[in-house]
Amino acid sequence: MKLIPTIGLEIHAELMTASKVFCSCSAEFGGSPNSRCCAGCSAFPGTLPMLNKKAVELIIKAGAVMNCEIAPLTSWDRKNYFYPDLPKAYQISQFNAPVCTNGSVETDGKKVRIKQIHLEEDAGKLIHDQSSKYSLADYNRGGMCLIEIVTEPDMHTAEEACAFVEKIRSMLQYADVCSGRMEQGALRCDVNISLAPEGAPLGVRAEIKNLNSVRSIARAIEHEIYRQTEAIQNNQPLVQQTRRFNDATGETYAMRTKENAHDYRYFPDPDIPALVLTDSEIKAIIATIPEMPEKRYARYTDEYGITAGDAEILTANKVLSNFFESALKEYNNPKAVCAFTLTELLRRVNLGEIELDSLPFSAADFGLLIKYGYTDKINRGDMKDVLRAMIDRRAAGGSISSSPKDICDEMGLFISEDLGLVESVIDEVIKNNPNPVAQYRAGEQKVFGFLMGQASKELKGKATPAIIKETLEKKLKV
Amino acid sequence: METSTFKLLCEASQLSFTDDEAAGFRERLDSLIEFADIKSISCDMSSAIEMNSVSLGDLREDTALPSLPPEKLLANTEPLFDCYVIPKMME
Amino acid sequence: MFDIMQETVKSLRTRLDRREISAQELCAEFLEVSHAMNPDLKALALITDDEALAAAKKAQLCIDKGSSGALTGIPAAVNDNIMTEGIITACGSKMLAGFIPPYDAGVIELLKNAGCVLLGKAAIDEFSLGGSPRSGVAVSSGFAPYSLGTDTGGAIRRAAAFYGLTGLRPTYGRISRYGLAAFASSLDQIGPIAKTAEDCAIILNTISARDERDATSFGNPDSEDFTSGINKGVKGLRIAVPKEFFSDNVSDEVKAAVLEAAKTLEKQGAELTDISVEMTEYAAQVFCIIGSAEAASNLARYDGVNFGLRGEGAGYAEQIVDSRNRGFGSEVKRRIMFGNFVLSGENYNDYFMKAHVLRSKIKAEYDEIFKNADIILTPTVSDLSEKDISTKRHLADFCTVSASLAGLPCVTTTCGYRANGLPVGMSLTGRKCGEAVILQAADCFERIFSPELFGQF
Repeated sequence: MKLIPTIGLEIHAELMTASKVFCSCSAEFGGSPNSRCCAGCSAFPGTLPMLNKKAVELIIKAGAVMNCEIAPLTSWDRKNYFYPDLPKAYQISQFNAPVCTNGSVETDGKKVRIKQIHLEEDAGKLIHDQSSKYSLADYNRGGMCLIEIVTEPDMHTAEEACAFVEKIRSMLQYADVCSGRMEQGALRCDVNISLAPEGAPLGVRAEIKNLNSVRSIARAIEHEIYRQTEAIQNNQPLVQQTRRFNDATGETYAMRTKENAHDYRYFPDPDIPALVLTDSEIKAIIATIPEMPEKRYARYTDEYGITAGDAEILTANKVLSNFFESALKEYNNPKAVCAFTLTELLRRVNLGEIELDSLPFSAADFGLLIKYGYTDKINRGDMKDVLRAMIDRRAAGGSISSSPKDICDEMGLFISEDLGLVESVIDEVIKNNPNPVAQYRAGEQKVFGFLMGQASKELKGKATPAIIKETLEKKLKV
Repeated sequence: METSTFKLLCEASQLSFTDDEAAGFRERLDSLIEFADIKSISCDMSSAIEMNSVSLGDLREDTALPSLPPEKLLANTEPLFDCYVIPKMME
Repeated sequence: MFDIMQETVKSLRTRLDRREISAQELCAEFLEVSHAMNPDLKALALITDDEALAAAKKAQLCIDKGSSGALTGIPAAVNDNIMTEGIITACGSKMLAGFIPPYDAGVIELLKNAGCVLLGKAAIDEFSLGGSPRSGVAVSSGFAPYSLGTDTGGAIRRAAAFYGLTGLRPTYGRISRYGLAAFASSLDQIGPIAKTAEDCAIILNTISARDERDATSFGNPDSEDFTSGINKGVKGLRIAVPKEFFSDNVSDEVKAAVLEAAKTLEKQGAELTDISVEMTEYAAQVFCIIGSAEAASNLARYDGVNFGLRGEGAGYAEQIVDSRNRGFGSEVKRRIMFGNFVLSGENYNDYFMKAHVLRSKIKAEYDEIFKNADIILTPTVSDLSEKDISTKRHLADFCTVSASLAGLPCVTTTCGYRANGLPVGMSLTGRKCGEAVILQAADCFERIFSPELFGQF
């Protein structure tokens, strides 16, 4: 019996706003406990939610890039449940009239339907210290702007689900909606998964909560497919339940809370008036969406002449693509910048030496370095070493400059424009090697390489091979 | 009401009652439910429900303002490391 | 010396501005009355002498500079479910005993800016749920010339009716709810309880403002002067009298007094029309369902974690239940349980949704009436026995809840007395934002019925 997994996702993305969704506290990541809280997000009596305009604009952008319909009338509901990370004991969310519905996103030629995207508030954070008999509640994250993207169950493998998450992440980054920084929890994913024989109705579903890396999404799905397959093949009944993924063991486990039995008793929040959005307001917001990856891709291949494969890599990540474009501002040679970016920069990122989100050098410095190499200010072979120094010097900290100019200066890598020096060095080489010179002048061309090598050794970093060659040929003819 | 319903409501309300308390309480709760029974009143459920509404321009501008200093925020409880304290939670 | 018990906001303004008394002396006198009588009457949950005297001193400086406003230097009490920074706000609940809010409610800010002298916090039923008239005691017993009450299903109006005062529930949204501990968010409103409609108008002028912290508030967008109808009579005002409010559910004494008042207004030039409204039949039930559902959710935040009574228990689940078991009174518990009942499973459609649809019908019916009328005149309470109301009618009286559900302004003033000497109140309900008109009619009646309130000024 072949079992087909069916997968639907709920992706929570934190919006890039300055303030929280219903109060004016800072929406910055982190902060010392309860330092980004007011009476409102701490649920003190008498406080009321004030909806953040930017949050509405950002969810409309998210909906637009995912081809959703934007509701002309949208409203907020209370989802009631007790948990100490939720001080009001209800989460303000959207149940009846979400901002976005009926969208779709294509990945690798496969279409995944988006059921809805709604705006809600994040919960606080509980800190569990093994040694203590208490848990501690920090509400800094409570009230941050979240959108929840709910897909239809249109995926069937871990790869498809991961590709979809990567795609969504990239789209949200490009639209300036979400930083996509999963390590900060800015993008989290719940996976709904069930197995059933081909053609049969959907099986009993498990929901795996709160996965915060693409890798753990893949591992959790793989494990869940394994677990459910085992159960079905051994005729063990599956129950609909909420599960968690243990990163250390690579396994999912059922949560202890009675979350599955919850009736959230949704009802319209009487504190928040419904929001009427006009066509022109929606259009004006959509018009501010920055260039999306498809458009950049076309520009890179058509205008810059970058290969399709390279353009895809460059545009897959907005941070990388933005870096590339900023570097171009310093040195407008797309092919050269692309080549060095994809080889040297990504190599170091992949090695884990540096992180794209927090590079130790600016795009301008990076572009300048490439410019040095490609305009014969330094030898191209030296570019790698300079980049290495730029990283190391920044890592070492202190007052040593990590600018490419200072590094090249100090390492003596700049190629001299001093023709007098070149001539005197070559004169010296000719004088010291009478035999090869005589051989050359007698028509033995192959000794030219030897003489060239002698000159280059002396002039390393001070003249380009072209100048050395030209000067040497000139002098040998005399 | 059924005992099971009463238990669900206690769970939803995070309240509990001793058997002695429950007897009288359930009676008063039942009388309230009886009083509020509007099932027999006929009305068109599809008719529009009037809602308070606002437009985009009425919403709060996205500006971060200073939060409440933790010492003020936490003055009505006994915090630990500037956090609220709850009995150990397990998932 | 004058008798402060008889003074209105209006008359005290004149005396303060004429320097017949200083703000400090006035404050001290009211504090003296409060301290003398509060042990028996328990009208105030807290008397704040120091803060009051300091505010009076500041107010006197304004008066001396000639920059006083309508309320500068005039003492007041505010309900204990309205947050006052640094001053215990317990909401009449064990749950919040000793709770010190780190912020002022929107109305408190407005009163403080106006130079008002807050004498203390008026005692209320737990979270002001019962719609009990307690908040009228402070004014009727002379603790303060006015107070700010809160009205979900009629508390302000019932207070006025029971204690022979004037109480205004403004249009929903006129006054910020920021800092009012929510009971039922879509029904709660703050309003003044005073001796005259004119005082209510004066107070409303100060406290009606849009608040950036309450999305449902719109304040006074037209900068209307709510005293504009004062002393203008009622000539040409169209007053509708719905027969359903004069049925067998209402005692004969109440009926007679309110109908007599209608005649008085007619003599002054108002046009009376008899009308019929269907909504009275289910208004109390609709109110009970929506109010309880909202309350169940609003009161869920009280779990003893970040403020309030902290229960005991080995785990979070045990501790929170213990906090709530001990913190809430029995009636609040009943409302929470009922609220969760109407929101659960299939009850949601049968009770909550249906109540919402019926509420819309109530609003629509009022809209229809106000096409041909300026005011709807009804009794405030059907019967004068508080006991009757709490047992038979549950929570709120059908006379007052309709205006709450429709979000309309409604003023109660005294229109007669029963044989046992207790006052009878009548309610004048206006169209949305029609406060000035209902206050105009109430004022006209008061000048005829209680001329002593308008004494020398």
